[in-house]
Amino acid sequence: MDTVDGDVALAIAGDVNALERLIALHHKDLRQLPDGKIARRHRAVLAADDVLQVTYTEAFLRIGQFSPDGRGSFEGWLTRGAENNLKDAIRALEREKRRPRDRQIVHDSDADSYTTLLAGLSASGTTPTRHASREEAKAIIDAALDELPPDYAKVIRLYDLDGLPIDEVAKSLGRRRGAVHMLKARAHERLRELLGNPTRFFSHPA
Amino acid sequence: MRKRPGHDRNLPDDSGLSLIEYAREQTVHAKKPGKPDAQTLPPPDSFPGFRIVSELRRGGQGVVYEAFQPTTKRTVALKALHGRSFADPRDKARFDREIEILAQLKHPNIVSLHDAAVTDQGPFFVMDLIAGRPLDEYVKDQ
Repeated sequence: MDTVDGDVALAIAGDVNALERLIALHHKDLRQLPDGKIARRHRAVLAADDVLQVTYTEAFLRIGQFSPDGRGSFEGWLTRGAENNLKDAIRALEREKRRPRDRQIVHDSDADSYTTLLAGLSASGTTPTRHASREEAKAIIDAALDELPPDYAKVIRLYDLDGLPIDEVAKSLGRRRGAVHMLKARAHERLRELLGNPTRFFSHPA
Repeated sequence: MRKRPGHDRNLPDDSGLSLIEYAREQTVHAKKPGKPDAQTLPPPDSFPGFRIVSELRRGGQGVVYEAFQPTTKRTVALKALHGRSFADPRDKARFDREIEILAQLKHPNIVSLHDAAVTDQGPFFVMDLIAGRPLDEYVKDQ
């Protein structure tokens, strides 16, 4: 087993230093990836580093799920992550052009935004309930947010729960709009996974 | 090259260190998903119409579960793509092709396809569950 394969095995087993070394090894190549794919009109709101920051966060989060499949599979995995994040950001920025950026969501109260978020995530059919009470929804979401990376949780709080437009979320986080779209997509994905495990958050699993 | 405190090896310059450190810090306290085992099977409603019983095999592309279909009361093998945020479009295309090919084959020695669908979590298909040893293990032993 060579050094790289050894680091892959160590990283999967939870050695974050090994994962750092692996990402650093491929960073230069990955850094080139988004540049040619970000259209000129999006460059003010999306940069290669935004894509890599979310991709690396996901790598630290999901390395335990990675199944090596021969040489280069780690680099391929990381590259696919970057490509998918980039696609999500570009798709969301294109969608912004078709729809007004400012949101017109009005919530009766804080708890309403929680039930709306829970119902939205449940619409995929992967979360255990769509009919939680306001209080229950708030407790479930708050508990799940504690288990997300801090920036994922912030995006959900500001965008989904406080109803802020993307521009304001971006300003509050000190990020570009494209970065917020990627964070939002990954945060929803992870939140949906966490909520999909009924025994973790629900007293009465569906 | 520069040496970082607490790290056992040098990292090359232009290593994206600040991005990597940010990512590491972001996930220090986050709950990390692991490889599913008997305790962490997919949620019960992940595959409409089927209840996951256990995980049978996991590969680079997908995972095969033993599943129960309450409407027909039969136990089946359910194969799903895994890892959505890192999913490869080529894997998806290969998976779709596998479904198409299986759907066309009818032979007593070839597993039959019963159903296929797409959920937010990705595509899956349902086959006969054949009891016994995995074919690759059997071939290796011969």
